[in-house]
Amino acid sequence: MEYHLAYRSIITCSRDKSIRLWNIENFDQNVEFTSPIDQPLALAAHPTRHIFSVGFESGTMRIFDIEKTKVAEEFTQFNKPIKCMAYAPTGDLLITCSVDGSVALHNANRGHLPIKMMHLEFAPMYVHVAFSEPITRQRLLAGGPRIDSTSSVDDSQISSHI
Amino acid sequence: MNSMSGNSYQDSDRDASHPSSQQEEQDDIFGGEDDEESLRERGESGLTRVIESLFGIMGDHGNSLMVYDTDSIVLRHQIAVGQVIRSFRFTHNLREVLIVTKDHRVRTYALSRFEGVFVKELTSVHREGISSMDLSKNGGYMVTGGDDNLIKLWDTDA
Repeated sequence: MEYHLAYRSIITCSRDKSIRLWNIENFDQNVEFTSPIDQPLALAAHPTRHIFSVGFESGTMRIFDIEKTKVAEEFTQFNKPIKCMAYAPTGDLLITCSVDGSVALHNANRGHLPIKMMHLEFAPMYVHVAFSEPITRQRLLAGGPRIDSTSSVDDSQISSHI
Repeated sequence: MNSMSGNSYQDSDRDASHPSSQQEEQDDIFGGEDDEESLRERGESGLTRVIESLFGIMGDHGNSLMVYDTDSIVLRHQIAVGQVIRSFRFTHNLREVLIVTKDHRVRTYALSRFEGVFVKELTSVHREGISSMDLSKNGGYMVTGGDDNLIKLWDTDA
């Protein structure tokens, strides 16, 4: 289950291979997508656009357009089930994780094109991915005569040493 | 609905074109802030403001947490927990990460070093495994769901 902040609805995927969108106000069902063959396993709602991504048992990731009620993009980066996925709070990046711990990074601003793949030597027992909220930090930049001698210090590091 | 969203965009545009007096005052105190790249190119000193965001993924065997910078995708922290990790969340101020382990505990690590610094742990959170955990937006509360069919709300400041 996932909450779509921009569309104000709850998205669910279930064992009956359906993906449903529920109105948050009255809990009526708005949209239903069915996948007769592939079992949906993981969901991620885009924080600003009316789209969401679904990871399937086959390893395929599909981007659904809510307003057009159709699949907008489809990528197959893995050959094992996708267990977990998440959008960055800014909506720029999407990360999908396979059951064997492999990770794919997608650029959500450029048609969800994959930009990086990361693999593990030994598969983890559980798979999870999480983003932090973006924070603004003031950084003191100490300049030198050469560009490569420039160093920066976070305000958090300064405060932790005082 | 559309008109409401249109007004909100206008407001945000107006705010962007006329920065608040508080912002101007802050810039005066710090002598104004420059773009980090331009300062680096000129080899000058100054105070820059950067937006920082991290993401975490599982390490080998699921015993460690790998934390990357979202912009550069550079490994920033590798936290060896010594137990199988089930899930994790970053605190709102990006100083700590809360890790749920298979032995029914919630461990807190500070992100001040590459390998993380163990801060504290919550034991006996649930009688059985902790299936899910999340933090409130202000970081004041933590909610956990357990395999013992209980949902618990925790005050993280206490």
